[in-house]
Amino acid sequence: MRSMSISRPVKRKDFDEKISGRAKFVDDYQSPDYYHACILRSERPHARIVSINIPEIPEDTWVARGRDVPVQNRVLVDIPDQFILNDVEVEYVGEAILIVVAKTKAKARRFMEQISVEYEDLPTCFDVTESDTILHDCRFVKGDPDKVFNEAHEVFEEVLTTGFQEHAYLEPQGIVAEYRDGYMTVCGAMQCPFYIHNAIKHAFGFDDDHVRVIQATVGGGFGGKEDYPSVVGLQAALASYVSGKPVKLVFDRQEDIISTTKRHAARMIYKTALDEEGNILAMDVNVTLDGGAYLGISTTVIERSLVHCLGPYVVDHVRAYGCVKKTNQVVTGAFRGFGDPQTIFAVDTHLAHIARHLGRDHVEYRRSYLAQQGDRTATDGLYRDPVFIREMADKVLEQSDYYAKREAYSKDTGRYRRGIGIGFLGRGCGFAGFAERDFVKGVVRIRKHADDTVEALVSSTDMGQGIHTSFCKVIAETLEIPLSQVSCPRPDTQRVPNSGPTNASRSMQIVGRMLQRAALRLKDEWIPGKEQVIEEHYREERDAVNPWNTKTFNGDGFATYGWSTTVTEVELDTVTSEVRLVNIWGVFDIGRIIDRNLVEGQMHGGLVQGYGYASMEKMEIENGVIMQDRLNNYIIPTAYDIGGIHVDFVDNPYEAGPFGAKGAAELPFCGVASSYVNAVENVTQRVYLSIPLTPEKIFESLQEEV
Amino acid sequence: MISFVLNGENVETASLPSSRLLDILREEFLLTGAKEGCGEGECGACSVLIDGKLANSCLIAVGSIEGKKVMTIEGFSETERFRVLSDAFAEVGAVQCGFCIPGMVLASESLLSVCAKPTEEEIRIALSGNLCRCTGYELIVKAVQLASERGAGTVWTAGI
Repeated sequence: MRSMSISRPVKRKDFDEKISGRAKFVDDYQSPDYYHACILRSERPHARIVSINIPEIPEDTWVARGRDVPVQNRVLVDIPDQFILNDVEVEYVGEAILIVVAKTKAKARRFMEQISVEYEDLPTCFDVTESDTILHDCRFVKGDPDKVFNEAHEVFEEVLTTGFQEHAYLEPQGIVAEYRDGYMTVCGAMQCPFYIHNAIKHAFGFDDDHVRVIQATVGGGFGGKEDYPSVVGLQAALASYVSGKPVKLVFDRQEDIISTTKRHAARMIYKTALDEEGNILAMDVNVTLDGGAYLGISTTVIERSLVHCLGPYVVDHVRAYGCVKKTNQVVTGAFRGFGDPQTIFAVDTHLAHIARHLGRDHVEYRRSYLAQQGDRTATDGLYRDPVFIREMADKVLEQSDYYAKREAYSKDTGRYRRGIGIGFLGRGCGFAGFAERDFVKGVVRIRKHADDTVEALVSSTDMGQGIHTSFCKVIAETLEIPLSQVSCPRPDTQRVPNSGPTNASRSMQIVGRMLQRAALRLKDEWIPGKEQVIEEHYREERDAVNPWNTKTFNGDGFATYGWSTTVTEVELDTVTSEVRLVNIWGVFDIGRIIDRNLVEGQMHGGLVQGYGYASMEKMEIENGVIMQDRLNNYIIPTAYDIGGIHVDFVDNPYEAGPFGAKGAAELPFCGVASSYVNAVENVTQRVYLSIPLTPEKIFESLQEEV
Repeated sequence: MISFVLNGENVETASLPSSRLLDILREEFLLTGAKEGCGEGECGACSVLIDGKLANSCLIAVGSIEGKKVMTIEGFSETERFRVLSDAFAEVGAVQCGFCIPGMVLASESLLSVCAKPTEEEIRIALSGNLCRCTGYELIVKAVQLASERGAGTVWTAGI
């Protein structure tokens, strides 16, 4: 079976340089010519800047201000709303005011510390329920929810909330920029080189050829290096533009945490209309995301929250409204899952709670609403591909010995008590609607050199997920040549076409498919010993059944869907309320696996990051100040916090993906929270509506009567 | 002058005794395998071995290592023990972004050099000072187990 051989693991292409410490991350680029930048940041959540007192600037030192930006002092990602530097009216603690450039970081910092800012405080808002500034909203209706709600036997209502989350990529953000002879070159930690390319063109007025963006080896992204590096890149570029020197701007951890984007905290109201038998008739969903001080890319995030408000479940009548509200807090942005982990947690937990309320078995109750092929999505699209979520549920229940453990654990009476829980999810792969066709318009190139080695030229970045190795596998397998003959360099906008950003679990499904098509053409046209270049452009391979309408939010939101079910086994210390993760099982449908090791690594990492989100990763913002602003108080899971991880897959080739692959990397993250909460609820027999579900919250719940 | 042994060679530095070892390694000796992930000893990306023991070089004042032996990933990667670990990490697919990995390899070595056949729990404890955000640790733990199976009794001999 040739098509399955693609799944056999290989040694990743960048393995040797990474294991030996030779890989160059941005801070590893060193040169005696470099200057260093420090950013003066706002200490107030909302204030007019009355004056900035800058002492006499010493030789070989520069101060860059927003007014030094030649065209527009704004960061263009989706819309140009955030400032590169803001010395007029700051909107959150940590907003960048000005940049100091000096020969060393210490010198820059020392001078920066002599600068004083006089603020005039302005009214603040830190709570979305009190905010009256809606940055963006959207809504949709399916069926006739008004009528159904009026006739319902009962309406079950809950308010569920999720917290902010820090990406905590191990490598802090950083960019090196050099402006010379009218050309701007930036290199550093990023997921989306052409986002930065575009942002620099916009702010500086350069044309395509005068901006060059190069990806360094990236130490983890998870969305944190999707939109924010455009801010860092513009700041570094401006520092070089003003000083005329090559400038390195690398954040330390605290600066990274206080200034970069977070996962949106969410408040979700779910109302469900039930009939006499407890059947779900309709749902009304209201989602509010905390956007922080600027909209940024939150438009797409709330849309994704809303489209996924039913998770993997099928309900015929739905009314959904979502909004992003402004607060005077750090800006929220892209993070693995991109808005749907919030609603998937909420809907899955809500359904389990309905079952509990009705006295029904929550596994069977939820299972009966899981989608099947031919069912309609929340937005009245069609689940056209085979859906195996029910079979996957059987698989995970069996592998985890779920029912036997649940029965046994219900009799636990000692200090340490175990519980087991389950969660279900389905989510769209890649971008919504026709974004690939109408906006991204991705291009890939394959270059065959005269020595018959083959290079994949794409803008997709490898930030650890191993996509460059996977791309090489797709090409080598298609051309039937050894993997060693194929390479995929880190993108440099001067050498690679724009194949779109690295996000939305789109890289293999969309860019990999274009590479496969290019490789098929090269195979046909292959002339040994000759240099050949093949270019492929994105094209829709299947007609939508119900074409997506962006205005009404109706239709096929996504080309296809990924599915998973997660079982979580925990042990609660009833004295301290600490919870230990004993085991976690995940069964996934990601189409066909391109590399077993790489995919398992994504599943493990996503499950553990999801466990952190569900349980321990608390980020509190008090009066605009992030309380957990270091890695010693923002707690992420360690090796010792994790018991066994068990992952399995169903093979469900996607007809429009390379070798049948579809989106993968976000999927494992999104299903842990509801599974974890369900497990803790099964121990304590309490109901929880909020994550992170910390020991403190469990302790409080145990003080109350059941 | 502060003298110490760096990856087997006698070296000196004229830097202030209060300088962080991490900065001296990266900026003076251009050894960038040790990374700054947090700057406060929480993440382990800056791990080095000092007289064979794992240390966070961001917390070490260079004045305190006079006469000591410092091993970074650059030096360790020349050894047979590294090769056993590297092969195991490659085989199970334990590397993703690679930022934590030099520290993880040195943490693994510091365990196996005193306990050639650790239990899974001992491995998890030994790695718990090194944060990784990509892998969920599972395959790193498996890699250390595999390296132990292959190297215990030959390249690692303690505690057998």
